Amino acid sequence: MKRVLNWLRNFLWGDRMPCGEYDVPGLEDWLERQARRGRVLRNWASFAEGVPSECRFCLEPAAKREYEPSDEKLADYAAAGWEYVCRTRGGAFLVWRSTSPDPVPLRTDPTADSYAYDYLWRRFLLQMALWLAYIIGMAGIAGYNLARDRHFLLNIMQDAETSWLVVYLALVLGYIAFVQFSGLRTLRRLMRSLRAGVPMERRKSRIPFRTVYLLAACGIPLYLACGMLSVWEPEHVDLADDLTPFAAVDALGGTADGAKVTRVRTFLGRTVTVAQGDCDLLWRDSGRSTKDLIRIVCDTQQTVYLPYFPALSGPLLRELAEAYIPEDGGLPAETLDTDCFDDAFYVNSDGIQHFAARKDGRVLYCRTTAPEDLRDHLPELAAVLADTD
Amino acid sequence: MAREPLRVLTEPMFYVLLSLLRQERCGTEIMQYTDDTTAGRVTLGPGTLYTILAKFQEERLIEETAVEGRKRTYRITERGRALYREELGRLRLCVADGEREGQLYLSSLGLPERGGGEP
Repeated sequence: MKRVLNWLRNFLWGDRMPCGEYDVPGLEDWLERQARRGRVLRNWASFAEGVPSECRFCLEPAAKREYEPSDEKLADYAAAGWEYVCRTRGGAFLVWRSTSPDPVPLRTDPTADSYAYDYLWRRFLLQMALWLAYIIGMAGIAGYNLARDRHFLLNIMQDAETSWLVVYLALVLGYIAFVQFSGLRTLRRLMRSLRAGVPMERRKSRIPFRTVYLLAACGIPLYLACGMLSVWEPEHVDLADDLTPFAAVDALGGTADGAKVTRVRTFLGRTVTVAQGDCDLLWRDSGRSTKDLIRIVCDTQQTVYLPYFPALSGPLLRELAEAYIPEDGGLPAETLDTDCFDDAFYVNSDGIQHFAARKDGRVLYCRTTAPEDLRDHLPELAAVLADTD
Repeated sequence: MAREPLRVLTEPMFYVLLSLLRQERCGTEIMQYTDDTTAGRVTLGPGTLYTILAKFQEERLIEETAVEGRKRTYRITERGRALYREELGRLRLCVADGEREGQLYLSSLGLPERGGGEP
């Protein structure tokens, strides 16, 4: 048990880098503290259990195309009491260790040492430029798809909630920006300090780095587990009592016998409505609870889209009316002149009715074989959008 | 942070150039020479030495003359000698300024002048 706890402690906290990868004094200090705890460095950020010892570590910027130190360097450094251990992730630094109580310092002239960072600095700038190019490229692809792909918005909104998509993108881009600018700041400070002839002081590890990792390491599995357990205790409600807005099947000339609506409240407070019953009557949500799907009743496939940015509702409706409905129904959608919606489109193709409409930045799409004409129920359909949270 | 050409030499850099003035040397010999000449006052760590040698080669102040196994030998170039002379002149001026200022200080106190102008 103690071993498991030790392993967990090291895995989640001790063996995690406490600072950025360019914080050389911080990393050297961390490696020395790890050695004192008996964590022997094998490869970068990979430790083995060993005997606690007093070691000194030195991170040296790798020269251009210096993947491993040369034999000459190994011998010279060994004569000074230093042994080569590994390279850091990405190969920015060579890690040297000395177990000698009084080794010859590897670095003795901060100003001269600053020149060793020239290549690393250029490499870092190139890396930043590549990230920037990547982000611009991704934005370009998204823009191109937005302009060209006939179902671009529809696909996105059917696969993921737009709000989560935005949050996800913001997190990814924010993380990249944080790591890059944090590295840039640290490296600049280090080089300026050295150029001024002052070795950068050793700082104690900073908590946020490891805390962020810990939260991510624990939070993501926890979130996934909660997502899986979210169907734990479904709360059954009668169709009539269901507060989720819908256009009732009765109103459209159908029957709802045997229909049962299950509302599942997830751990994070999101409510997913699943319609169950005879397949003839109900279209069953296939469990893709992350869709912007609000309500499906009987043989009316009724979908409400809530774009995170209401400005996207126009392009989304155009996709539905100009691409999706003509492809699915085989006929072009006609524009409806109605006060109930900002824009509305309709087509009846061999008894299958398609209806797409937009109001106040929300989009409603219906596909139904209901016997009654949807155009006679526009106020009820408008009420669906009005009631939507 | 742009790459900067060498203008002023630090003490270890100066001794590296100095060690190559009369003869070609390898890295170990340069370290030994610096240690002997300065009686241990200037320490030249191997990491710093490698950086200085690489920088000097990049600036064409020294050049590699031979590689025998793990041993690389360097010699100073004309450009290196010029920078050495320039640095020596700068140091001489610093010393002269220091001595003159020291002697002025002693005179202002009415004390006899000492060799080197030390106050």
